[in-house]
Amino acid sequence: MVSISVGSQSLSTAAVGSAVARDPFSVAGLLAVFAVVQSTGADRWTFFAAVLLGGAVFLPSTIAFVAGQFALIPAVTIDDQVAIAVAQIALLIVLTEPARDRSVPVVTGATAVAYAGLLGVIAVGLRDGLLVAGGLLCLSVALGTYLVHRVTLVRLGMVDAEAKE
Amino acid sequence: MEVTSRWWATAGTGLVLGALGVVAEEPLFLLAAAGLGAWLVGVGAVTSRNVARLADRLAVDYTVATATAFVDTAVPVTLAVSRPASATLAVAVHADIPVGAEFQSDSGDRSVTLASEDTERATEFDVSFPVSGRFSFPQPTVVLTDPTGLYRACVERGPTPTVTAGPTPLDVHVGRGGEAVRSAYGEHRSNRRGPGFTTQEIREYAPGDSARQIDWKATARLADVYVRETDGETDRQTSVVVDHREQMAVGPPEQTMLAYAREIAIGSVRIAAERNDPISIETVGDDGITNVVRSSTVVESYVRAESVLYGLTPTTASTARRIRSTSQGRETAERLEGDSDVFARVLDSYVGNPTRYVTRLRDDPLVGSVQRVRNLTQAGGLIVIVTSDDEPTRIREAVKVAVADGGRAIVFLTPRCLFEPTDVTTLTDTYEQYLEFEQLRRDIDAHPRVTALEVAPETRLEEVLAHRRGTPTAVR
Repeated sequence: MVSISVGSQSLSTAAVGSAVARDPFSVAGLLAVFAVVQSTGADRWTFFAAVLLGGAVFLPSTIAFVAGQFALIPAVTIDDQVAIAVAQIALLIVLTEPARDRSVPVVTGATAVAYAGLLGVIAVGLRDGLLVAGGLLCLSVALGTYLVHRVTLVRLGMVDAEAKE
Repeated sequence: MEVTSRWWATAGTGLVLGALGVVAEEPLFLLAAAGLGAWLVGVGAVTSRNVARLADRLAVDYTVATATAFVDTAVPVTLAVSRPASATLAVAVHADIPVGAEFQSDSGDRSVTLASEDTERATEFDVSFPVSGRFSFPQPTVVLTDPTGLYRACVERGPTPTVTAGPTPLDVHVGRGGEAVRSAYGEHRSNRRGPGFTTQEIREYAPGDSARQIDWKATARLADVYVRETDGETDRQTSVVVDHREQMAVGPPEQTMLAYAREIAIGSVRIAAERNDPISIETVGDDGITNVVRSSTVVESYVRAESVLYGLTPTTASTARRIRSTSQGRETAERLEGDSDVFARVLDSYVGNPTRYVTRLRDDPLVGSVQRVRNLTQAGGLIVIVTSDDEPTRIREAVKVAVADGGRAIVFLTPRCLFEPTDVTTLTDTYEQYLEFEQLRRDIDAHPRVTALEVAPETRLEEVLAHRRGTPTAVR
């Protein structure tokens, strides 16, 4: 596969554009996370969550997603399953904001499916501990990405060329 | 499909969250990491499908304005890209150029980027070719980037145009006293009766005539036996002697006397090839004969002759020859041949000569070469001599040798004065030198079996003649 540097840098910044979570769904998602934090009754974390989630409105979606997780995690425990589920769905909406912004809504569905699969992997891994679950998670993402890479090569008819190289 | 730096940043964040989860024994961090992982895989899956679709439907047109070009001349190249309006991937197409070609950076951009709202765009730029040859443009490289900036795919799409670059044609003037001559080579009939196609006469049959000569139509019409006489047509054996000694290096780069001499010699070879005449080539360096192409009518022989002529460069007079004999030098070189020792290689560079000579000639190499060619050429054969006017006495001697035994000669002379750099103030001097040259040419041309022609840059000659046009001493 030929790789060039000309144009690629400008593409990642200009053509792709910035990924700031600003659409109504993302704002609603962040508000939902704040509501979950408030519903847990952990008042000392409410202000912390408000600051993080308020700042997340102006941050790129990936960072907003991470900020939302940091706002959520101190306030909830693993036993608050409904709250966690609602918050994770809300944060996924925040994370997938660029896909909606650039008219690729199908990415949201694909991400949800992948998330479900990874949750299953974590569930299986947790039986043997957090370390195994974390390792399986990393492995699954790496495998998924590699699979996507190989499938793309096949679709583009570049498998033979790469094998010869 | 490749991952971008943004992908690595996202994956790194996920990794940190996962590590935090393990260290802090908090499974919620793993859920956060899983969210980022799902985002990467989900975008990847959709991008893979979109890349394959767009790669099939993307139209890349890569065209060069001309299939043939001259060396160092700008050639316009157009790159046009169009894609379906429904495509969401960002498209950047980069036009690669062949190795050896030069991109004219001030002529335009070699890349086309289609923004999200663009469906088609084109760019035009110039390339030039510093050397002769056939240049194949590689397929343009298409970079497809997903809208989230996580993945990028590079594919090659589009045509591969080809350009053949040739040397810039010289403005060669061949003629006499400034007047151009259309055909220096001439026709060649034998003036004898013999086998051929052109009818010379129809006459009555005489005893001894071949039955195959009988013209049956004339016989039937005239009620007597008549035979058809035809012009005898023969192959003309031509030998070309090309001077590429040091003195032929005079002139601007690529427009030296040797460059013009080469054009003339190559022209002779091509005419001979067209007429299927046998032609031989001998090239003369400062110390003797450098190349010999034997007389032949096979295609390979003409090709080899052209190849030899294209490879000619001015030789330099060997100073080593003055202090050692040829046999001594050859003996030393033979002893060193095959010796890979460092000392031997250093010594070889002093003993050896960069120009390989077929035959070294003690006397004037041009006269010696013509003498050699005359000995090998059949009586009446044509010898073409291409040289400069540097040594008039030697040229006369060479011509005298060439026309011995009833032979014929065409002498192409390059007047040094028309190749040396001069300015407007010295045009009068140049004209005077040209008159001397013209006198030499006329002297040589005076022989009934010799044709002497001048070979010079046409524009330069026009400039000199125009400077003195109308004066009593003008040649024309």
